[in-house]
Amino acid sequence: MPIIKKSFVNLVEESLHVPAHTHMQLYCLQMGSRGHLTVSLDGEGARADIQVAYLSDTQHANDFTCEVYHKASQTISHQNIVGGAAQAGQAHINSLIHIQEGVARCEGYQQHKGLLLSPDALISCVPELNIYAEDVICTHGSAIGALDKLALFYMCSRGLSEQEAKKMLLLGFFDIGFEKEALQQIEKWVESYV
Amino acid sequence: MLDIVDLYARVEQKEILKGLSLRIKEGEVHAIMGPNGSGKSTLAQVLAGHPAYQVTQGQVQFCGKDLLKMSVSERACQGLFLGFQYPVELSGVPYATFLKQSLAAYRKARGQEPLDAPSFIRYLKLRAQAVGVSDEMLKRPVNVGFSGGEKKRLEVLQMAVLEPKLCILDELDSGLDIDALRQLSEAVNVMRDAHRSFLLITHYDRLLQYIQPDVVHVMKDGKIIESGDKTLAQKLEEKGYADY
Ligand SMILES: Nc1ncnc2c1ncn2[C@@H]1O[C@H](COP(=O)(O)OP(=O)(O)OP(=O)(O)O)[C@@H](O)[C@H]1O
Ligand SMILES: [Mg+2]
Repeated sequence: MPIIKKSFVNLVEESLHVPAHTHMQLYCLQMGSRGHLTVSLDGEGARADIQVAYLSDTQHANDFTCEVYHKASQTISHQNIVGGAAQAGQAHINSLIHIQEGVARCEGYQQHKGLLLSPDALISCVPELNIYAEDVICTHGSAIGALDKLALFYMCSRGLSEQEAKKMLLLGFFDIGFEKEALQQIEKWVESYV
Repeated sequence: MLDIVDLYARVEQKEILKGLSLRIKEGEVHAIMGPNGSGKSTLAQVLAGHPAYQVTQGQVQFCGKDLLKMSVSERACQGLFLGFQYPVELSGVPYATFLKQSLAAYRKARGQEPLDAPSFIRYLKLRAQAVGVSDEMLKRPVNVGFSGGEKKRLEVLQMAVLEPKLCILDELDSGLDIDALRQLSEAVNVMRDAHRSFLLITHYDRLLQYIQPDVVHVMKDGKIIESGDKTLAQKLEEKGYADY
């Protein structure tokens, strides 16, 4: 199956079409923008893996919408959205799976994890499933919380400073397959907030 | 090495440790046994510095320093190691990466440079073999998706790599199969020397057959209520805690 790979930084408006028996892999890094991504699975057997990370702080709010349309049978989509909000940063995430009437055996998955790095930060997420067909598998989940205190304690009990522990945990959290350049930007952001 | 005097600690307003005293000298192996909920893990967590536990009274000296004044990582870097009863999952953090950084922190505290990557990997693999940890396991995130026994192997591997002065092992034997118990006990025995001490928390004499302790303590309701030699463990195994 041919693979199409695309990466975006601060995507604003994109509408992408995946033809039959094609696998699209998308990476989006959002660092303070309003973004709207639409992916349409047009042909049978099309597949999209969408990896999104957002970084919010007081100066950089994120508003991100990700919509996936299953327009053919046996199409598969994964939306994996992770993000962090520091200072008084805000993030609002919308994600939609739409499965059109008349198609069969589709799978749509969406998952969002948001980390609040300060008491003033705010993250909200609205997952939406519009399913007009039978015989589909869909799941969605969203978890928003602070860094795991027990994990930090465990790491410090092995000699890491609190700062080192936080950094390592955050880099692991954002490790969803980005290329080097995006990773460096994530690392820079992480370092300024641990 | 470790001197605990009249220690009281609580969690969420509940008093758990109620006047516990314990002294462990250099090179000694001590074991603590006691009924479920008597506060054994609480003691271990308090010594490691878990922030949820509040010490309300008492003193703890570790290698001549006030342990309770130190941060969690200072305690670790001074040589106190806790092998957790329930090791914590660190998703996204590969085991080898984590341990490399831990070792660097330990070495820094001893005034040593960190090992370079190839030396570290060689050192790690050598010790991993001895405790039955495969190369594949070293690449996976810390404790994520491992079986109970595998997690214990990974805890012992951290101990073997970091070479701490005082090793507190909370239920090392729980969840271990017979061969793993022998193998990990051996790994502990190899590390025993005149300057390193151990505190083993366990429910079963079987572990203490492999790792022979110098002193066995019985803990109940937040206190040590009896201490003796290793025959005390056998007595407990036969009679249980009914007499206490
Ligand atoms: N975080 C906590 N919040 C509330 N209660 C706690 C907490 N941690 C421990 N306790 C309580 O403290 C008591 C002692 O717990 P602890 O885990 O120290 O026992 P233990 O001796 O290790 O038992 P076991 O042999 O079952 O491992 C128990 O009653 C437990 O419920
Ligand atoms: Mg316990």
